[in-house]
Amino acid sequence: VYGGLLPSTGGFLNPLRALYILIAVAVFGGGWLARKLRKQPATHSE
Amino acid sequence: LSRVAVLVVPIDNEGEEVAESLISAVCELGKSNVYVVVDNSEDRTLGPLDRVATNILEVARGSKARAVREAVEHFELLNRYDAVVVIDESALILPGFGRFAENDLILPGCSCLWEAEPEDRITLVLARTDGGAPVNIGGLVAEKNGEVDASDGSVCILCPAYNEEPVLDRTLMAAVAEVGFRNVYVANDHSQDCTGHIAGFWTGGNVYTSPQNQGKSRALRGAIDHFALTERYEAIFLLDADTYLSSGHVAALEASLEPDVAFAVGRIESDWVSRNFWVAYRAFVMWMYNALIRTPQNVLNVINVLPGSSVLISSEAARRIEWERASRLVLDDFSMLCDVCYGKLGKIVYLHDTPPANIAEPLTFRAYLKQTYGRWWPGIWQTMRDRRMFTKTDWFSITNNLQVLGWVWSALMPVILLLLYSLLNGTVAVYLIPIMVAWQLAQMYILAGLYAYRKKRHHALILLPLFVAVAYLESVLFTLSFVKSFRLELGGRWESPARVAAVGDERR
Repeated sequence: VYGGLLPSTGGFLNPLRALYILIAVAVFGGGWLARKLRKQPATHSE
Repeated sequence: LSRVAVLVVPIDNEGEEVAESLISAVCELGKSNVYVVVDNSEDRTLGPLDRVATNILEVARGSKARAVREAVEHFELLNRYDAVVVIDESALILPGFGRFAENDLILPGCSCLWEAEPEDRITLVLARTDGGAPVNIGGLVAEKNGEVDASDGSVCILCPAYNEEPVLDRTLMAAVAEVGFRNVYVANDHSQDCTGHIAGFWTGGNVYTSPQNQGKSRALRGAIDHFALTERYEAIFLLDADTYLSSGHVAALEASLEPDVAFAVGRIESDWVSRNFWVAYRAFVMWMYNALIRTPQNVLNVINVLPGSSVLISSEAARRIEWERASRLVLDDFSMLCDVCYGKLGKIVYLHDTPPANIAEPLTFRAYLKQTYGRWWPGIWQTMRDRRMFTKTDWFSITNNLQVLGWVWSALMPVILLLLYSLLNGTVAVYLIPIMVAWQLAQMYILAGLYAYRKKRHHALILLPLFVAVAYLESVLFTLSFVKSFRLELGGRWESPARVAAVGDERR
């Protein structure tokens, strides 16, 4: 069952796959960004 | 005689470290209470081992878990000691350990004693209980000298097994470490090998044996009824005998159990075997599948593939699953998933960040084809016809159908490209089609690069063209398997890849 919508297989011109990739990018990209922001030291001064 | 024995199970027979571990144990507990199990491979050099230890058992090369069981049984350690501390050469027994163990480790008749701190470097402790069963206290927490809760936990592990002797030790040892031996059960579907014996050792006798070989679903149903699991536990974790759980997998899923959750699935990875193309391919595809399909499906609540090899099922859902219907079909887990989605039994959640469950992959092309073209793919078509999924208009069915059609679409791609080429005028086609193909390959290389970087598997970049070719071949065979699905025998048979016993810890 592994495959289906992966690039190079069912990927061409497949709207469902495009939707899934967008969501995956949002989830992992968002998570990565959130971690980055949390790690950044506070820069404001009193 | 001490109440505690130390069992040294070296990963590597040779080396100074083994001798150091051994000497540290002998200094603390005396020669007669220290046991060593080594494999009988040709390169074994006894050397320091023979000088230091007297209780040495040689076993055939195999998994560490199997070596532990064989040594415990051979030396009758659980009859003669209250606890057995199992270490490998990375551990040293520190001065004072014997006193600590006798005073604090051993509470007679208890199943759950003391959590070994990582710095103690104790890999496993087996302790005798009233029932005479071994207990792994690694990972379990209890008050040092307080009351010990010997009641059922909220989650149990149920492992269906049919002739699983080569892999069962490792699977069950990891399972016991997850939820404690009292909460591990085995549905033995009338195996002809030592499956029942091994299962009894690790679970303290929680083994249901089918009266005759009747298939996975019926064996599971039999065990659930026999042990009244749905009444005693909030959820049941189904674990295939060839699936090795990384520490913390079940606990992470357990934390996600809300009243409206029917199934919880954690991260699945391929049990790594080096220098095997099929494992390399499946590991890469599985990694992409988790990220690009399962994660988005989880967001949209349309998960359509349930890894029957490692899934947490709420007891409420388990009570309402049509086990008999599942047993008639080749893919019992797909049928169970349909029960949840169409019967509105609850949500299916996927947790991407759990420690992985490592599933065994077929090691040869023949075994790979047997699993996929022989069973999985026609099984998908079979279940879809059984549930009339193409006639349904809910989101689960629509997204599942689109995904399946995506494969057919992929199989037809050369035809589609030819059509495009003939329909478009020459100049457009000459540029457009190579751009489309290049765009697909670029995506694959980006993903393969990420995978190679994250998993430190740089071979993926070299093997990628072959991976793409296999993926295309799969889509063609998947499409053809529609015809095969009409000729499928009824389900209920066990179909497992050839079992290969794990050797040491190197397969992790």
